[in-house]
Order: sequence, then structure tokens, then C-alpha cells
Amino acid sequence: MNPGPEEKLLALAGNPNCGKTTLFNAVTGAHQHVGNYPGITVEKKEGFVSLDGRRLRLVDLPGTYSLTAYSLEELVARDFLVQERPSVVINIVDASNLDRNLYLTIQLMELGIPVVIALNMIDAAQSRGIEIDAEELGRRLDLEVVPTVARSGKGKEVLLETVARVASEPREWRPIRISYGPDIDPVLDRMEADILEAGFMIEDFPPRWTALKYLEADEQVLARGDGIDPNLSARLKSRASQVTEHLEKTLASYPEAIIADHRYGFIAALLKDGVVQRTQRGDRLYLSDQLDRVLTNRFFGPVIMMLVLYVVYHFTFDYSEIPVQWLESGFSALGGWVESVLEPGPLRSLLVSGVIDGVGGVMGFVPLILFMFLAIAFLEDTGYLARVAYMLDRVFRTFGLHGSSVMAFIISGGIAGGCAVPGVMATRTLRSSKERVATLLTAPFMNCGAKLPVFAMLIAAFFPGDRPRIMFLLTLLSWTMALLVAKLIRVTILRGPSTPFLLELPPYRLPTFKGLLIHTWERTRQYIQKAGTIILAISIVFWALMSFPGLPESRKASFEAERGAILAVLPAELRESVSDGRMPADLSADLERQWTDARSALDGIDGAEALAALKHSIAGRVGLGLERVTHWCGLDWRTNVALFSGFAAKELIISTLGTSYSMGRPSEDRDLPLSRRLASDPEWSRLKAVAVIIFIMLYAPCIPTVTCIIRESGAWKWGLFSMTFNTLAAFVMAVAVYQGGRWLGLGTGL
Amino acid sequence: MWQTVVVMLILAVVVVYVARQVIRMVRSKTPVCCGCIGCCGIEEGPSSQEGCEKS
Repeated sequence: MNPGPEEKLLALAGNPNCGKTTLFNAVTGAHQHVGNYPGITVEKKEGFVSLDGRRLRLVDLPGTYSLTAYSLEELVARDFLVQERPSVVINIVDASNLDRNLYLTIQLMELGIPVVIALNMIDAAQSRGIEIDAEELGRRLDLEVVPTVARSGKGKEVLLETVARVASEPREWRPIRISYGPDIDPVLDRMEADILEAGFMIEDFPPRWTALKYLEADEQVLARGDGIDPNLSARLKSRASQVTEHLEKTLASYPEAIIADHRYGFIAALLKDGVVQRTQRGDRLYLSDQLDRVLTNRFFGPVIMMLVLYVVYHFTFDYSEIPVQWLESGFSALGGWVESVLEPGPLRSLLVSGVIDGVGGVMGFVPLILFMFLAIAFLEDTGYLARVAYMLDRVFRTFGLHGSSVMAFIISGGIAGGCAVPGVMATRTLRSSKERVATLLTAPFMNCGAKLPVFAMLIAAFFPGDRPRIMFLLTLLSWTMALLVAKLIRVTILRGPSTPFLLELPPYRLPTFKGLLIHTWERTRQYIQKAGTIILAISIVFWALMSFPGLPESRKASFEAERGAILAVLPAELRESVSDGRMPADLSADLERQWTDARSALDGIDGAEALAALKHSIAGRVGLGLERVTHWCGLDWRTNVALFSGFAAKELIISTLGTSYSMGRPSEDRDLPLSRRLASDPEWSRLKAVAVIIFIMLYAPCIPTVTCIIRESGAWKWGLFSMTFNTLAAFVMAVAVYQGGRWLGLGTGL
Repeated sequence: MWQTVVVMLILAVVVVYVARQVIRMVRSKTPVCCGCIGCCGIEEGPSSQEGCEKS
């Protein structure tokens, strides 16, 4: 069965009635013969042809629409491709039914099989008013496309020459990676990782393909998997059933349907922009295409996109404002209650300053996160986000990135509220390693769900009347910075050509209310869970770093002496009440004035002592040390400590700032939320807030993202690069804004 | 005094927890999520520890 050294095995595959057998006969001529394969009743024809001294063995596979195991023909075709490993598969494609026929092509490419497309019946297509740019189609798919007319034999010589050349080329054919959307992709990635780790059937099938078959519940693959590794097979089935259940709940659909939708979406995107021009349409994607004419229109598309983004921010900020205030008041009341039941001491400080003022600041933004996730879930479920990616492709290519980079950016928080970890993982769909590294280095510039509450707090403090507009501008700024940095990287350390753009456009879908709620709740739950676990834990660590070692005894004694001096000049009957802060009810006007003045002086000393202790703490000293450099961009020592904690997770910036302001606060600030405390701090200004926001937007990604970058790029250097380069870029930009603002005289006025 | 003892106990537990999280993140073969969109949403129950972990 295996071909000899001078013989190349070729397979002909295609849909039924695509002209496959006609082409087979035209190519093989008199040399054809028919043979039965043992054990299978479906017939495969085999023929030979000689070309430049090489013998080509052609096997005509049964006509199939796909490579699933729904029919015997499909099984035969699939088994042959997997077991016989032909040098090239000639995929006969009916040019007049390109959408449907390319469905099989995509599956062949997912198997990582060398493919040459014979664009057959090109004359029939032209007579129906369909014009196909074969060269462009081949460029986008990264394979050879040869127009043919099997009936007249037109194009068969070119086809054979192309096939012979491709069969002899030492090219590595990697399986194509199609995104199947946010519900399936993460599970597919995990299943693929499991399969790779266990070496499960990897000699026969690409790991991602096996994972897909588990999602499609392919009986043949499942039975084979059960025999090879029952434990792993059971685990993969469990993952598949979880995603099936999830899709049923959220989209009232099932994996096969979603997979098919995304494949057709991929094909739809592939055939856009001049690859196919036709005067009549009648396929099932008609409505989506009609909508796309407006929503992805060159002029209206970007305008609508900006409008949608602006509406999302308005919706988020407007509807979350009151619930956020409720939560802030609730945490403030909780802090007051803890202070009233616990005597002063380290535990009270930990609970009030470390937990309630720290983590409470993060939890307070849960409503904002919830509304943002709801809006994003709506855009995602309708299929509009894919259109955004499609429209931005042209812009991205200008900056040396790829169309698929857009999705990685959006997942990372392109609209705000994403996460750089899955964003970095989403770069796996990029074929070019240089484009991929450029994307995974710049995706963390996006405004992820962790940065969002930090920005929201600073905007609430300094731009309370323009919140949606400022967030909209910050989104544009993050994209601009990411693209500029990408361009810089692509023209310096990662120079190379752009690869063709392939992006799936799934059909529009009306989201279900239940599905939106489930998607929104899943993400909000993750935010709350994270705030209640790792953020809480690290907040406590930073509270400790801000509390210890405490003031030396000599300095404590000095503050105590100041207090004693104030109490000493008071009438004896006032000393105790001033000391414990409870004013007696029956004081004369003169005594009441003395009491108030003394108490105010004591509060000042308390505040000064707390501030001195904070500055003397480990974190305080680090913050003050960094201030020598960071004062150029307006960052004070407290902000330095907060930004340092943000390396672990960006939400910690809020909790650390909350803790530091809580520990060194004057008593009259007790009930104020962090945003109000910052707004009333004379060290802060609008200009400083802008500089801090820019620094936070651009500086080093959080540690989980950095480890993900290292893992995905396979090199430590890119993780270290992203930390140092991003921080440097953030510093330069923040200095430019802060010093530029001051030079322009904006100073504290802005 | 009792507050100091309680705080020290809490700190000890927290430091161990954070250290374990860091080790798990570094050793994990799959990326660890940090409040991400969609990545961990589907995972429920014990299997979540094998794949995309919640940090």
C-alpha cells in the first residue's frame, strides 16, 4: 500500500457532485483502475499518472461534506487520510458553491494535511455571475489554488504540476487553528494541553483535532481513546459534557452547531473583500451579510463602532453609580462598627485599614464590573465583537500586527473589563511567531478588568462629571499606545512581513436574556472570588509591610510628650474627656472651646504619628526611596507602594492606596471613600491623576500575565522584556504628560 | 496583646497561602487566570484545578 521512493501518493477529496470523479478521469486517463479496499464496502478509485519521471498514485476518495463520523463515506475518507498519509490532498471545490465546499477544506487543514485546491467548475460559477480571485484565496489560506474545468480538462496540467511541486517541497504543514469563540476556545486549549502532555493519539491526529472530536462526541475517536487511555478519555469527555451543558444553558445550542457556525464564519470572512464577487445571494448567512454591509461598512462601520463603545461606557457608569455608592457607604459603616467594638490595636488596624478600607475598595466596584461585563457579554453573544476585529484588521496591518491580534486585544480588555491572560493565550491563532510575540507583548496595554476599578476610582475622584467620556478616551489611548509600541517592535527587534488575514465572522445571533445573565454572573463571580481570596491575602501582606516595624520608642515618646504638653495646660476636669474624645454635655462656652481646640491638636498629633509610622514602615521606606525617581512623573511614595503591589494584581493598587490612606488618615476622613480622600489630598491634582492613570495603563503586566507570556513565547526574555520595557515606556509617557502639563501651566489646576 | 497574637496567626496563614499560590502559578502547565473573561467560567468542581486555575 505504501508508495515507493519515486512514487507520490495523492488523494482526491471533495463534496459529492463537485466534479471530483470527472477530474480524476481527466487526470489519470487510460491508467485508471478500480479497486476495493478490504473490510470496507465503500469504493475508492485508484489511478496512476506519470509526470517528469515521477509516478503519482491518485486515490479518489468518496464524496463527503465533512470529516465527522456521521456516514461511512466520511469514515472511509478520514481513515484513509489518517492512515495512508498522502503526500498531498487535492481538494476539489465547486466554485459555484464555494461556502459549502470550503467547509471540508477547513477540516482537511485542521488535520494538518498538505492541501492543494482545485477550484473546479469555474466556468459554471462565472455563468452564474460569480467571480473568484483564486490567487487571493490561496494567499489567505496559505496554499495553492488552481482554477480547473474538469469536463474540458482545462487547468489539469497546471494542477498536476502544482501538486507534484507541493508534494516535493519540504514544507511543514501545521494544522490550521480556528477560534471557536469564548465558550469553546478555553476548553479546547485545556483539552489540547492534556492531550499533548499525555501524548494521547498524537501520532495519528493533531491534539486540537482530537479535542474537537471529543467536543463533537465523535464515536470512533471516543472509542479509540477509551481503549488507549481510559482515564484521560473520561476526563476529556467530562470537559466536553461541561461545555455542552454550558452552551445549552447560555446559547440554547450545542458544540457541533457552534463549531459549524464558526467554521462557516471563518469561510465568510475568508471570502470577503473581493475574493468572491457575486450579484445574487441565497445562502443562510444572507441576513448577516446584509447587516455587515452597514455595520462593517468602510465609513459607517467605524462610526457605529465608536458609538457602541461610548454607549457601553455610558450604560456602565450611569447604572453602576448608585449601587457603587451604596457599597462604599456599607463598607464605611462596617469600618465604623469595627472601630466601635474593638479597642485600638493591630487587629483593629488590620481589619479596618487592611481588609475593609483595602479590599472593600475593590469590592465596592462590583456593580461597575457587573454592568461592564453585561455590556460586553451582549456584544460578544451577538457576534459584534468579531466585526470590530474585522474592521480593525486594516489598522492593525498598518502597525505590523495581524487581523487575529485584534481578538487578543479585545479579550485582554480592549473595551475594558477583559484579562491579559486569555488575551495572551488567544495569540495562539497567529501563524507568524513575530506577529504573535508582538501581539502578546502589547496586549497587556489594554484596560483589563483589574485596571478598570482603579481608573474608575481615579476618574470618580478627579473627573466626576465626565466619567464615560474619560473612559472612552482612555480606551482609545490604550489602543493607540499598543499599536505604536507594536509598530516600534515590528520595525526594530521583530522585523518581518505580515501574514494573510484570516478571521471568522460568526453569523449574528440574538442573545438570550438567560445567557447574558449567566455570562455576566460567571465573570462577576470570578471578580468577587479573586477579591475575596488572593487580593485579600496580598492586601493583608501589604498592610503588614505598611505597619511594621513601627516607630522607634524615642519617636513615640516625642509624640507622647507633645500630647502631654497639650493636656497639661488644660483645666484638670477636661483632661480625661479630651484624651478619650468624649465631650461632656454640661460644659460652659469657654470650656467647650478649650476642649475642641485641644482635641483638634491631639488629632493633629495622632495623624502626624500615624503618617510618621507609615513612612517608617518597610513599604513606606521603599515608596520614599522610589520617590526620588518617580517624582518626575508626579508619583508620591504612597502611590509608589500601591503601584508596586499592582505587580501581583492590578486591583491591589486600590486596596493598597486605601490601606495607606486609612492608616495615615486624619480622623475627620473616617467616612470618606478613597476617591474623596484622594480628591481632598493637596498632593493630588487632575494632572497627577492623568499621569498616574497613564503609568498604570502601560507599566509592567501583572505576574500571572508575565508567566503566561513566558509560557506562550517559550522564552524568559520576553517576560522580562515586557516587565522592563513596559515600565520604562510607562515612566517616559507619565513624565512627558506630567512635566508637559506643568510646563503648560496646568499644574494643580488640571 | 491578644490582638498581636491573632494578627501574627493571620499573617502566618496568609503568607503560606500566598506562597502556595505563587508556587502553583509558576509550576502550573496551563496559565493561571486572574479574573479573566470566559477563561474559568465553564470550569466547575475539582477539575478546575487541573486546567485553568482560579487565583
